[in-house]
Amino acid sequence: MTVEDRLRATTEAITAAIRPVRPLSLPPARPAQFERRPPRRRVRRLPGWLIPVAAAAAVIAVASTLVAVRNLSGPPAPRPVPRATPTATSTARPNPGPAAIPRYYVTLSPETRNPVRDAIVGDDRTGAKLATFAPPAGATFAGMAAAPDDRTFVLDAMTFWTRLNSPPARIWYVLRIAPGTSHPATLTRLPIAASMSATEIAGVAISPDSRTLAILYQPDVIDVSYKTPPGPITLRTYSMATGRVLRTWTEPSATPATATTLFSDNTVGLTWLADGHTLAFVYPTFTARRTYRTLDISAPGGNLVAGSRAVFTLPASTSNLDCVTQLITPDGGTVLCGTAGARLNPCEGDGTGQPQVDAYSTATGKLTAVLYRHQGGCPGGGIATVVWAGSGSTAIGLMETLKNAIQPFPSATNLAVILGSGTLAPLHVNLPGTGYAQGSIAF
Amino acid sequence: MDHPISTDAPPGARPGPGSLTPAASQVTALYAAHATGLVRLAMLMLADQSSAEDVVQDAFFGLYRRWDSLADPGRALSYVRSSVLNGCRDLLRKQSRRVPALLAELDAESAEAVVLLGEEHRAVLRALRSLPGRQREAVILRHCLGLPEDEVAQTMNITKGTVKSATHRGLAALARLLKEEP
Repeated sequence: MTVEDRLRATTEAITAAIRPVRPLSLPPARPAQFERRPPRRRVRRLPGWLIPVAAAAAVIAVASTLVAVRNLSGPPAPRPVPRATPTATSTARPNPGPAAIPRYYVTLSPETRNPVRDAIVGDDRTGAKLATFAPPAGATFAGMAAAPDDRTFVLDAMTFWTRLNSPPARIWYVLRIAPGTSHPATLTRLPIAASMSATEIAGVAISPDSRTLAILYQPDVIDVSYKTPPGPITLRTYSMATGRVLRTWTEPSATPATATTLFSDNTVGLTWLADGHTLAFVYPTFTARRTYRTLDISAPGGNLVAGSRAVFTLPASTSNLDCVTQLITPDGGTVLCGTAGARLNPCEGDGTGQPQVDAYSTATGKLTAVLYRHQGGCPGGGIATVVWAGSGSTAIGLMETLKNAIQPFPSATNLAVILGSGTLAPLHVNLPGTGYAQGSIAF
Repeated sequence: MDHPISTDAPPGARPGPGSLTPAASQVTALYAAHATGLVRLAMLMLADQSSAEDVVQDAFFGLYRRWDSLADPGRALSYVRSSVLNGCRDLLRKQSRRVPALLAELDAESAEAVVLLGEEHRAVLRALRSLPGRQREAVILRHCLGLPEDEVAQTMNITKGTVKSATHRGLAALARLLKEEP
């Protein structure tokens, strides 16, 4: 039997197996009326007329948040805290205390059938919402980054794709917060990236002095026609005062295969180290040898790979998905990895099927601590997403657990906790929706 | 070639033809005629009927929204077929972003696939899922759905030559993958 015959046989089998398709549900209004609505019904990262994405994406992710810290004493009314299973690699560390955790955060409103997502500013100590910003007309907020000062954020909005020859563009904003004042949060347009057309944003980071923005991206990736080859993977630094480009590094050997590995948000774990002149990022992002690299940005721009230095190769085990998400600490000494639990029979064996947050030393390349291990029954696996890294033992992460091995849609509790040394406590973070990832919530 | 769109609402369409706007009537008729085929296309991409139906519904919803601005309503089927492909791509991409390497296999081994399809067909689906996106789409459109090359090219918005090379490479890769299947 030829391959073509086998394809036809499979197609026939699928055809025979299709259940009756449900009726089409159209809105009662006329299309023209629909078009007159404010452009708030469109999908992130897809042509505006492709609402499917919102539905599909909403189906995929239901996130819950877990964070651990040791000896939490500050935040009011913490929930009873589970304790992570002690491991041989866990070591006693000083309690960072709630002061070590950023107080303010920005995230996106729920991703639902309405694809327009607002930006929400909140206080994780009190649970109060400081402000909500709607995106500009015809766009949605898509990602963000936070500065270490706990007062400055950058927001990324993406326009909707309305025509094939008018792919999405990016609009950038600086968000500054001043709690307790009459204007607790202000949003200012950052005049950069007019050329960021059809671009995938892979990483965003703000310098420790909040004066410079770094964006790692690849242009011309979002191209449903495949006619435009993806542009080079590019890292640029910009003045946050003027939007002027300061330095540019590129990896011109990018191919379509490379392009598909660079997704939006901060999946490359782009981090501005505390020394003020080093950026760290993961490259390449989708091979067995994903590597954290550091780049001295005081040097002139140039080749992104040749100009940077490999400092840590991420665990490459595919059996337990050791490092699905990652961030490097500001001192560059530790890489925090969020793992994916085994999807089949996670309760068997030594329990390593539970998703967890691991800490690795960049000096030795070895695992130094399991900061948190999920203790939630026997789900069908799960994923830990590290969204903020403080020291080598303090981080904020999101925990997403799956219902079961066959039905992989996440089932999660929207529980935010502080993480460190195995002790958990809730952060008062309002996570009203689903689909949180690196770069879609920033502390 | 695209099929002409009947202006009559199909039997059983909801709500009744009398209450539908002209655009809704046209889109509903197109849906009645082609929904099953498009769901099949999406199932070949996603291996899950619920997701496939969602993608197809949203593609028609998008068509309905854009109906008045369509340059050539006669090409509506091609338009919506491209929308379904885009929806599948985006869903697959989001899945791989959220759960790299985890869902890719699980989708092909969804409960539905396990129950309804034999091992041989699941092996074919697994092999299809492992192809690069363009090859997968070209093979599905050309050899699973039997579309002529020019329609495949139109749907994918690529040239016929690219369709030929993508299907050729895709079939070669499939042959290799299926031979390696235990």
